[in-house]
Amino acid sequence: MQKENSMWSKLAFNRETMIKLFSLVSVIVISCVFCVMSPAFLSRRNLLNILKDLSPVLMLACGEAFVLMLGSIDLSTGCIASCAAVMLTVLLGKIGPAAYLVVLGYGVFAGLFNGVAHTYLQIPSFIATLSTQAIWQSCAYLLSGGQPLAMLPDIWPYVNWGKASFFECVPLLFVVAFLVLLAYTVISKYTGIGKTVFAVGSNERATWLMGQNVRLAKMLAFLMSGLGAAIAGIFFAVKLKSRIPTVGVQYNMLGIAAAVLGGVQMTGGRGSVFMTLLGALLITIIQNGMNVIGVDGLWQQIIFGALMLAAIFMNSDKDHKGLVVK
Amino acid sequence: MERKLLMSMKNIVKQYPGTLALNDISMDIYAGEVLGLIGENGAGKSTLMKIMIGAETATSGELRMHGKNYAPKNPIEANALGVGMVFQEQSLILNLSVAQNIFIGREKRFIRHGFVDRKAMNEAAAKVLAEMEIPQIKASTRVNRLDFASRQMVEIAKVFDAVNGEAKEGSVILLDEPTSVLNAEEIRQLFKHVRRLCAAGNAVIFVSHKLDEVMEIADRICVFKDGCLVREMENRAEEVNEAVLYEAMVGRTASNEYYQLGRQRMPEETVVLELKNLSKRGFFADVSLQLHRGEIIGICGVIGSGKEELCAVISGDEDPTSGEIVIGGKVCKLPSPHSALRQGILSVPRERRAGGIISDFSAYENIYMSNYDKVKKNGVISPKLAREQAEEYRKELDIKLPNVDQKVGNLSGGNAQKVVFARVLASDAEVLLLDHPTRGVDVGAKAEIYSIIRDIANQGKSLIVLGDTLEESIGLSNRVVVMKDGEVTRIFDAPPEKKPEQVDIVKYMM
Repeated sequence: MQKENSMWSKLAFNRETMIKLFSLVSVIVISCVFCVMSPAFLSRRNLLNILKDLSPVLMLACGEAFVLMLGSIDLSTGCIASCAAVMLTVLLGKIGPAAYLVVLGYGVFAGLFNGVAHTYLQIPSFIATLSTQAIWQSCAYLLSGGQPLAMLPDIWPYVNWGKASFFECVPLLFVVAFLVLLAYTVISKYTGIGKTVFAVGSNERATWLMGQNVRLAKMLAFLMSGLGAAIAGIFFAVKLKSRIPTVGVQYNMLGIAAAVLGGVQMTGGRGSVFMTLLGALLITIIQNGMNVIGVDGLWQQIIFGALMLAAIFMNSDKDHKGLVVK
Repeated sequence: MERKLLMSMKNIVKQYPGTLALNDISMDIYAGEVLGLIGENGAGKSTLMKIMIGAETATSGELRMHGKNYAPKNPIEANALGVGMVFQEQSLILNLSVAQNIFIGREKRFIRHGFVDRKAMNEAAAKVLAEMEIPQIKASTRVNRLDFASRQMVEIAKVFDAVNGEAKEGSVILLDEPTSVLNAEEIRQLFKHVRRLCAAGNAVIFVSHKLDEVMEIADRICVFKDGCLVREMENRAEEVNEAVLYEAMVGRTASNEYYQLGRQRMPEETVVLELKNLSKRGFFADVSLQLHRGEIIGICGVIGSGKEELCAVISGDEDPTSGEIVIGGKVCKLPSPHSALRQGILSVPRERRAGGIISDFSAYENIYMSNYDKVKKNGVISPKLAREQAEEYRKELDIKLPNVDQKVGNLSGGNAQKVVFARVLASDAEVLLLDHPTRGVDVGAKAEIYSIIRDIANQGKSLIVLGDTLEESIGLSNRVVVMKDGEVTRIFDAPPEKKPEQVDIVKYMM
């Protein structure tokens, strides 16, 4: 028994480093490939674009990482982001910059809503967040009137910060995203409740018996995910200067994929919030590169689907737990 | 009288990491006899049964059945070779019918045109049930509609049929605590079936904690202790009585050195924890108890006595149905171990890997898991402080770790348990519940853990111990609480100079 255990944990450890290595190598290799195929890829302008596109993916991924770390999953983040984006554009015209606070508050609320459904109503997170996904998607349609619409010029002053950048290659958006990522990392690694999230994902029963507040940790994880999604929504709105009720749909999967590519284990307990940056970078580079060399948007989804499967396969824990999602 | 040998075991040894579960067991089983198997929890009865049924393989030794070498790889193979077992925990599948359960895994003979012929199966099951004289149970009923006693009878019918149907020349049937959910009339029925089976040339091995039943049904009684077969006797009224059996089960007396009796102190007057008529329906009732500062209370009882559930309720893991828990003079509700810890109560769970450690975490992380505050600096956890804290406990408790960053999943039982104790010490809890604190720990580490327990008590903390053995509970405790069928039957004082005898305690346990 003992020997077997140590063997397994060694293998699992290798798997965790392996996927990070895979992501890192992929980022470099793919960057090189795109460079060769199109010199425009490495231009200052394109770098700016990559970091801008990266920001919302990063926000979705680092929030999602909390939930994955529990061993649960959050399928509603994309739609929370859509709804937040629409909400921001609508509210900016009515209440001005206070709209940002309202949207952040909405993110917290949506996250807690998922948390209550999963933690207190004991609904499996897969089903709970699949349901709230539908709810927030509808809300996004209703708020937007069902159609994409450009922002009116009178609210441009409130969103022009999205265009600001340092040295013309580091956008302010990315700086904000990076600060949020740092805050998320500190919470996950250096606070008690963040440690409890890890512990629950690794061994919920033991965490409970150790006297830790398991429910609070679960609520926190979903809250972080909802908040991250709302920030991503803000980024979408600011970046695109329009309200698109479906803007976040495909990003739910990308957020999960980025977290997994950053080494987060879908069975919970292992991984790092900070490393989601690596996963998000890989995904954004692939997306951006395909745009630069002109791959049809319809084909891109196939690439991402395959990438996601490969990432989860590499990262899946063939250990004792035997399940992917709680 | 010449008896036909059914099964023989020679020098069976079963070694688990850290514990020798069976030590050189040799035993013969004859056709037509009922063999009673008794012993304390952990004496090795269950392990032996598991080997006989093919759920475990012996480390060394030889089994023969009908004179041929017998080494089943799984219970199905064992059934085919004429050995069947009725498990203590029920193994019926609740959403299948009685007939489907009886013939599970053996549906082949009912297959017609590629499908199972339900009607034929039900008829065959009805025949089995009629043979067992339980025709009131319908073969087509879903099992979850039956009460527990009926389920038990179905389970027995299933095993009897599986074994009888396939072996031609005498079978061995193992009954593990078969009477625990049966009432007197059902037990009488069961015994009738047992005798009928034996008369037909089979053998039944009967394991029970209820000595009166064993004495009623068994022809021969084997007593296990610490993995050894210590007594084997014919069940004759003039030789065998409960006192003789108790004596054999309990065996040697505790050595004073081992439990460091010299360091046992008188507890203080202050009551830190009081239970008032605490009950949990179906498990224990009206438990009232006072735990003093610096006191160690041992709770003894067989499985099902309610001691484990009592511990779970005090630690906040489960909720009581009535009664009060008073901590430091205040009535407290403990809906979770989290709230119990805030009141200063923390448990060391029995299943270490499942409940005591987080194997993905390093040793130093495990140690601060019950108290983050001690390793915080400026409001966040400082890995440096955490490593320092772990380093201190590593020295204090002599934990054998190359470094504190080692993941605890790889540690041996004794060292992993010391990490658990380090966490408990770091938690600053005042009342500790130790559920089998030395389970799966080797002898050397055991002594060290006893020493840690004495240290904890002498620091003025209070402990409730569910010992791995009776000896341990008595050796460590200031008082021994005996529970039986969910009630406290007796409380013994256990001062170092006058420890109660195990035999006296067992009397109140069974």
